Amino acid sequence: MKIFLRLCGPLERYGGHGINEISLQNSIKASQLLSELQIPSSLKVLIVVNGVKVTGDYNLQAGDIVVLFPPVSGG
Amino acid sequence: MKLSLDISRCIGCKLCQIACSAEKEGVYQPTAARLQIEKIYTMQGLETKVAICTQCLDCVEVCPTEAIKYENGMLTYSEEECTGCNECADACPQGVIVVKADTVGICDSCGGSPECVNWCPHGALTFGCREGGGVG
Amino acid sequence: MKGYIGKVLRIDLNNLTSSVESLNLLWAEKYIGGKGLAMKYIYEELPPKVDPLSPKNKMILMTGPLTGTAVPCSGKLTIAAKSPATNTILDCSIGGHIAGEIKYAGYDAIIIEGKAEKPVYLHIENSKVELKSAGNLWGKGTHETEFFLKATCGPEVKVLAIGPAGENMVPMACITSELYRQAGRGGIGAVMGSKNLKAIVVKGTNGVKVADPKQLTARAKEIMKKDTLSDDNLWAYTDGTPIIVELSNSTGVLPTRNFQQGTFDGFDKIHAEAVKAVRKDKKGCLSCGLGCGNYVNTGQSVVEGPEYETLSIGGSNCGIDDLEAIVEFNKLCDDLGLDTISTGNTIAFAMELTEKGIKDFNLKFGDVKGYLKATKNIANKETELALGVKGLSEKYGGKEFAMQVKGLEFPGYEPRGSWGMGLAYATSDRGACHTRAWPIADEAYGDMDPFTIEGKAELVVGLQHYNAAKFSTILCDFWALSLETVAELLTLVTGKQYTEKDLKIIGERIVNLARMFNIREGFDAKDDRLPQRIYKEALKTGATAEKLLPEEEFNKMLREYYQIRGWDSEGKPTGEKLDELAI
Repeated sequence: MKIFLRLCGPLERYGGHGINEISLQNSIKASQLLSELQIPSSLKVLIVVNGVKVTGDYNLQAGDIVVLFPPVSGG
Repeated sequence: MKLSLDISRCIGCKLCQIACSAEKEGVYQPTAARLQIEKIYTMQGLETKVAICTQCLDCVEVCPTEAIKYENGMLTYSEEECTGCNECADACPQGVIVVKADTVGICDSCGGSPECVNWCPHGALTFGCREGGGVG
Repeated sequence: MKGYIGKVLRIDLNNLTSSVESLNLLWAEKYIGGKGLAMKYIYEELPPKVDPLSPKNKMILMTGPLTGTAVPCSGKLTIAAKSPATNTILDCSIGGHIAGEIKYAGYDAIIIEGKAEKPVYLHIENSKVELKSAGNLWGKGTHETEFFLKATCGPEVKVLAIGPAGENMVPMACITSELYRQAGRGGIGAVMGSKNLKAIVVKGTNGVKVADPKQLTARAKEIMKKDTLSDDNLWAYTDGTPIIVELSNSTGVLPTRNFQQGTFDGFDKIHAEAVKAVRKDKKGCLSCGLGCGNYVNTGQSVVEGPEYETLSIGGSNCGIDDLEAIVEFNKLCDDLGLDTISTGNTIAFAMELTEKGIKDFNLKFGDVKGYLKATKNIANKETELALGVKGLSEKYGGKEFAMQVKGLEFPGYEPRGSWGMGLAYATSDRGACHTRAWPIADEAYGDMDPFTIEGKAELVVGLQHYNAAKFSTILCDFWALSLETVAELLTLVTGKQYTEKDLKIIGERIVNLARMFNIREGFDAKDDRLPQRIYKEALKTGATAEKLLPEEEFNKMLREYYQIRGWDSEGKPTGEKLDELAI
């Protein structure tokens, strides 16, 4: 199955700029996607799927648009 | 071997100057640094004003006592031989020689590992044999 | 203590004189510098109930022990006074290079008192201090003022200036430096204007000495590389605050149409990618490797910005999805000397008053022309919008959707989508403010449930202490570092041993001192309230659809907050608490 991934800010270093199509063998959890991208687990990443915030337990579906945000501070 | 600045990577934080003054003078004082880099708004927009040692060697040329020498691709300076005449500072086209009470401060590339380069957060300042050197 | 210069420059505008005195080091031990120390001076030097726009108000420019050193992100300056927008104590924070310059000129602080008979500017060059006529600059924008002063006093000087808004004492007037950096909130620019002080020009060529320069330089370098320039902070460099637009929209906390919604259809026209598409360069403050400033050029207009607050409050909240228009609004505000947050809110409020038929200001959500015209009119005091949201609501109604606390308009975060944020707005020392505590990072943008009061009082209290301490050293809020690291750096700078615990106590002391000032001015628990819209009107779209922050839940959270703080039910610090904190 295919999903679409966009990494924001400094997270681009884990998978490039813009929207990238990613092929997955089977449905995995969002948290597994993060580890496959080698994003350190210590980093507090906010996961948004199809415009809605989800937890790492979310099971990715074909066609999902996943956006990952780095932690921000200060406002 | 000389300093180069890639303007497109410079954010004007002045950590280079702070680091230089800390290393050379033991105080945090950007005006006492042996380089001056500033991002400044002018009527034309955001501009980067840069003064770094280009190793033109004018200082070596004018030094009456050979206190400043050019060796192994770097400048060296001997405080003992310096008479404090400031002719080097007057001759420096970049204006990066710091005038002190009886001596001067010369960019000696920190002996090959310049602190300004070590501190530069985004690799705007580099040190090496890059062709042309200077500012780009 | 090292790290301080030990000197305060006092300017008496009544007599156009200046004097130099010692910094009160006993106070510095208890309040560090920046926010805390400026507040202590304000608390001690202002008589109660002073009219903020009278000569009796004072303006204090305060640096901190870290200012001018190699510590990353230490380039900020505190400017404090009593606020004409809120009548509370007010401290603002401004970036750029002015803070370091003041310290290099040989002062920890500048205290400005009285009022000049005619417009003047203050010119400081190390120990040389002069007050000069600013007659020719009065009425000019901050940009022209800064260019003129650099042409007159030298290109290397640093400048703080007000625009027409400050001169006209508009309660949302700010102070500008380097064209696009602001001490923005609470009408600090109006205080400067009330003193007939157009600008402050500083050139400093001295150095700052610290207790252990070798060790500090080494540690600062290490910390910068490993901590500052890490994935936790680099958003500030890669994107800057516009990254928050999409984050807020995804979590339903992006203020839209005067806080009627938490999502905005046109968010993707004003988010980070849109800003980056017109970005030409980056600019940072003194000693900051993060360089959050985006220098953009849309072809029509140029600005360093727009920041998230401007994109949200001056964008979605006004129904504007035209980035070019927001950039123009941003530039106008910076040049006229207006805070984009309060200005954007006031225009949005007037748009809703018009929409609801309460009062016709001939303004509509999304109307770019009207919005830009209103901005100019506010600065020139040619419209009642110059009253601000609170003033307008008192005159024409709509108090239930007047998005302000104590007279300060809301920043760009929807409290119905992060309940702790509501508490942060209600209890902040200067009215609705996001920089005293930013719990939304843990709520909507983090792991905590945003729609509960559980744990929020404790969270807000902790963050208020953290920020108060950090803003007193002074470090920028964009660098997420531990208080342990702050303590380590502060110890190397001052030579006095600081621990994380010390900083928490100092933070708490500062929060309580600010509270005591506000109580002296007549504030109490009834002022720690949010507008009715937050309690009663559910949001309609996105992640916050159907959500509100029920009043009884808010009250419970507020009571818990007072309890944790050791304040009574009126929100007053108890005698025991004040003794414990040695206030």
